[in-house]
Amino acid sequence: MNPIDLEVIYQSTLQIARELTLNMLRTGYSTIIKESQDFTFAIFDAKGRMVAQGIPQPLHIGPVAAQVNEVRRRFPDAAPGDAFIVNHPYQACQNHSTDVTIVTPMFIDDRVVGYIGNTAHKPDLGGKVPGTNSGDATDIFQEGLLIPPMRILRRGELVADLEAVICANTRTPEVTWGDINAQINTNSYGMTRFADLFGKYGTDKVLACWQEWMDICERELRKEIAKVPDGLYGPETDYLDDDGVDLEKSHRISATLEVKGDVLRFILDSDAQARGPINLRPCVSRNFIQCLVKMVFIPNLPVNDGLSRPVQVSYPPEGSLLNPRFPAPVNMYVRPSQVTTSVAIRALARAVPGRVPAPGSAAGGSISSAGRHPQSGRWYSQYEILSGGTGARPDSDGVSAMDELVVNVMNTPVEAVETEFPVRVESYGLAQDSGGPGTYRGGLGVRRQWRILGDESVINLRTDRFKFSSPGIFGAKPAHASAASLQSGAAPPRPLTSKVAGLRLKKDDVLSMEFAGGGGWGDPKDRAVERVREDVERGYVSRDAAREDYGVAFADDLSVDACATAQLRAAAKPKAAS
Amino acid sequence: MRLRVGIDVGGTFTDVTAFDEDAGALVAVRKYVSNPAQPAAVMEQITRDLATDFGADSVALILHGSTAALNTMLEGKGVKVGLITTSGFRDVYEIGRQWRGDEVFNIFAPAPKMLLTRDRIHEVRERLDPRGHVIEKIDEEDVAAAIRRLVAQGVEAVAVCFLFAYANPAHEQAAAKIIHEIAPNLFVSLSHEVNPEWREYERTASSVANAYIGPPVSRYLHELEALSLRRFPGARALMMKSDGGAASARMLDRTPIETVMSGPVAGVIGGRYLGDIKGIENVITFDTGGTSSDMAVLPGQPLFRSEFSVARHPLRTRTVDIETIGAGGGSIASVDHGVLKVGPQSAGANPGPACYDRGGSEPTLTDALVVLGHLSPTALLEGAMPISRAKAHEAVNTRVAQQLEFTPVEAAWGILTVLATNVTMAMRTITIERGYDPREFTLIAFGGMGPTIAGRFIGELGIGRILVPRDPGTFSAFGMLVTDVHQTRSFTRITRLDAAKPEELELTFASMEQAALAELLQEQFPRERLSTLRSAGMRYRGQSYEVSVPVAALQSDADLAALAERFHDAHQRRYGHMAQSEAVEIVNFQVTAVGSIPKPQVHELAAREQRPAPHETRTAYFGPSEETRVPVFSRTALKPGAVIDGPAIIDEKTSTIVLYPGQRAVVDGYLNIEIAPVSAVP
Repeated sequence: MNPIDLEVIYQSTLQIARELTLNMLRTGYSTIIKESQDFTFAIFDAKGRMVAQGIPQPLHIGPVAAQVNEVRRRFPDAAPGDAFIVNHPYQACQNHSTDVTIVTPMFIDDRVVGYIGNTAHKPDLGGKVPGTNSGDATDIFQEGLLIPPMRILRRGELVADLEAVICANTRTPEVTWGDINAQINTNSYGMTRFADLFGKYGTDKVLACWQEWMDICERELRKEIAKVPDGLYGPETDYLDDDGVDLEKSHRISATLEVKGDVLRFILDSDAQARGPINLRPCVSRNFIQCLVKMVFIPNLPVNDGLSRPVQVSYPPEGSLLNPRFPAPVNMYVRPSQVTTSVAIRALARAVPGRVPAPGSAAGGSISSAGRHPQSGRWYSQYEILSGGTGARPDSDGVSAMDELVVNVMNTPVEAVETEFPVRVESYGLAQDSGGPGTYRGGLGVRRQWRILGDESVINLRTDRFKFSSPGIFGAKPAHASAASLQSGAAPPRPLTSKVAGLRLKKDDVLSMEFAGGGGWGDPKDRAVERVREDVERGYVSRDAAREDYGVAFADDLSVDACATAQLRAAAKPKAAS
Repeated sequence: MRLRVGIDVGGTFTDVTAFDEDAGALVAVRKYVSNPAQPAAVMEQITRDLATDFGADSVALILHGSTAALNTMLEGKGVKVGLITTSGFRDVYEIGRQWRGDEVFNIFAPAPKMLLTRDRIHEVRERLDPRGHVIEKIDEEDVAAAIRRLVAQGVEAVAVCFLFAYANPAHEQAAAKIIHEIAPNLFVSLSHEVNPEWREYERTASSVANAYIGPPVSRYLHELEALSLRRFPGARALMMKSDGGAASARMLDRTPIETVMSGPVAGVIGGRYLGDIKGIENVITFDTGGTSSDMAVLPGQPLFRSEFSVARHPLRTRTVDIETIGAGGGSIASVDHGVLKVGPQSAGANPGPACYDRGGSEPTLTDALVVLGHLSPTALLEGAMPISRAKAHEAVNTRVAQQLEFTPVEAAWGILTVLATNVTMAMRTITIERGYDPREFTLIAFGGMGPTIAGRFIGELGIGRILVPRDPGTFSAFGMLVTDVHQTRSFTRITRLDAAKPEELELTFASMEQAALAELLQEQFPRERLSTLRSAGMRYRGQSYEVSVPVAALQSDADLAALAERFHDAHQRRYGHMAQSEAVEIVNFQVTAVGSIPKPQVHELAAREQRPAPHETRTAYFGPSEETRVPVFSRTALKPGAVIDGPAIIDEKTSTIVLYPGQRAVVDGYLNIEIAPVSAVP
């Protein structure tokens, strides 16, 4: 294909994906769309292969691709003007039921030439708690309304019966349906834009361009993989604290990487599926692992189906946490996604050491609280997502208060929290010493304290990493784990577990939450003494930790005590070597 | 003779436009070579030339646009700064919004940018609640201790940002007083003066940036003013601000951050003025120079934005809504994985495009346009910039054509096509994102390169008309001549409309107006030239974004109802739906006091339809292969009413206009050139 057409047609395709995203941002109702941008568009060819995507929420892409293919399989009779809806985590694929997808086939002259798929998180779709996603759900029927692939538009006409069922099964019908309607209309807008594109360049030329871009990505990725020495890397193992139902039992996740020629295979393994909602469907993890590989090997090329060809993922048998059997609950799927990312990153780092960071905290999670506002008398519901730190990089420290790959959600400003809710934020900052010690240090996690100003507030914690933290890599020491506590009256603070459902707080109680740091890179005793001194001066690392973890001692004026430092570091060395 | 002079300092050139208010005519359009290392030196030369040519008593008003603030940010050349914050909140600035944004797929996503290190952030005990009530009184000892430490750490400027300072500035003012006592020479940046609006991270970051650029930019503004007054004792010297208004150096003393978009904004103001003269409401300004294209959508009045970022650092200060992409004459073409890419990298002014023959070897858009014959193969800028066609040919051939197995002309056409696609995409994005349809707009093309490439993509966007002003290469300097002086006040107080009393809101606005007008009275504006504009940032309860709505007088409940109605309409336009049953809230109150400066009176000349004669012909290409002999016209020879059918080229001193086949140019009574498809011309 002419290289100018190749660029112009693909850029035009990406532009349509971008316009769909803008249209969704513009017309969506909920703050989930407008603020968190928790939605994703993807464009597929007639064979259901992903060609391009809009705003990338990496966790959405895999399910949309699987759903498009399930719609293709089930509805060979799809006609122009039809659109389909689905959120069923097992009958097609979905992260959890509150992610609802609309799939619209594109027709040119009565022939299907592609699909637009768009997934958006819904504020509520029924289930046992407001917001649907219950931390102690034990089967998927407690996790909200389930919609198998169904028509929502039939030849341009809305299927009103289905609208009625959906609206009858949500606590927020206006906003939830407003968002679904925006998804349907945005896909229809996309259809007209694609009709223009096909009309301008010719259908076959556009399809050929898409095909070629997938081939370019595949070819470039294979070239890069071929440079990696063949072999098995790993297994790398990590754990989830608990499943929110049985708080004593932790859950193992591991990954081994096999490199053979120009193909990568991730061999995933895990404990048996959990009773609580921390199970993860394979179609979700497969895609974010492919994204991870793209980020490492071909960062400047687009995300499309070409990436999936040289990256294979194998799973433990059905009935495992990473391959759950219907109807195992899945609503807290982000927690296992983060830990799976961590072990995959560690396996990759063994294979291509200079190109991958240490694993991050895998600790990002949410705190929600609800109650009655003392001034207005109205019910309020407050929801915040906070982060740990990223892993250290091969040549620099990790970033504080940031997540890797699967989570990308803004914090809520203190001034917004206090203006909207009967809460005072007592402090918000970085947790000293939380970053994994290494030659390069992991990023620090955040800590925030909330004082309850209303008479009563019911809180939920949906977090993890209180018992296990990022181990770091290549001789680093583990990062600090997350922690939470509650102070009530004059009693000393009482520690909380990582998953809390429905805990009642009283006026003046103070809830404190501290998030884990990212993993370190390399032996902390090899960290440049000046960097350690700077960290202490800037308050990222305490004097005690500098001595204990990094083997650096200081005089009172923060000048390095060279003699003591040499002794501390020499004493540590033989152990590291053995 | 009473001259009004616009001076636009760019990275490569400094443009000067002088308008004689008595004669109603432009008397000088000049280009000087900028000297980024010594910006004042160029000004010295410009003012000397003006004084020599027109006399020391001729200049009444100098309007100045400068990249001083922007470049200080871009080049990281600000001063060493410290930050004082509320106890318990030291890390607000470092944490940012925990959002990777565009870097979502970057496994090495960078940390939010900081202009200082954490050891220069000191906490002070004090606390306000969201209404501004004092929970904990400010601890003055803490402030004194923090300042002494910062002085010992060698800072030249300090930012103060306390939680909820926008609701009550008392604690920040108390801190400022102590700072002045202990360290009278420190530049002080107070968050309630820089940006009295909620969301602490963005306010903190803006205050820090204001401190960071404060000392050098303030010094520059005052030097400039002193220089102008020394040369022209009767003149007033004003600086362009990001919001499209102008201000004196004194007005900007504490908030020089307001000038960060001073450069590109003047062209937008000029575009609006031109649209008004022509009676065209909807315009898009398209300003393309050597490295970038600045675009703004003006559905009637300019749109504004309150947040943007410079060099990855967020700034929250009111600015005309301008989108910039890396597409200009210097944009470099390359072949990557068998695909042709153009920009955003630029060859800049040095070494510049290969055809400048200053050592540049990479092919740029300018080189492609030389190969295509759209630009003169011998010289630009009326001969001041010689061109090597051979070098352009060689660069395009060896770096693009050979890789793609193309002829040089095919490759050059491809470079233009890919760049035009990038511009088209960006223009679609900025119009659609704001709820507008590009087909309803006229494109005003200027900058050295805007009129050269605009004809290539308007069809793609469905835009029916291009307007090319006189002297398009120095149009930004002209825009400065038509600006007014602005003083803006804003603050955040969340107010439910259905519980609000109109007289209370009226009082809020009126007191803000008085404060803003007092500033302008200090600038010696007579009262009859002063006016005010009110607006409110409004939302449905529960939303965390606001829509700006103009506010009229608020005397009665009916006025409040009308305000709610305007908000519903604005929300419908921007977001495609409204929710009339939801409670409506005002989040921010904004007032702009305007000191109007009389606009230059331009005269419309009588137009007489005529077909001018070209002064030469040139071989040019309007496709990958079709070679055409096209007539080349000199713009200065074109009279009102002149009609030229494309393909044709119109050369002028500061730019080159390219007419594509099927397009027709008509010279209007103001000597602008209007370009439209022939089929659209009646």
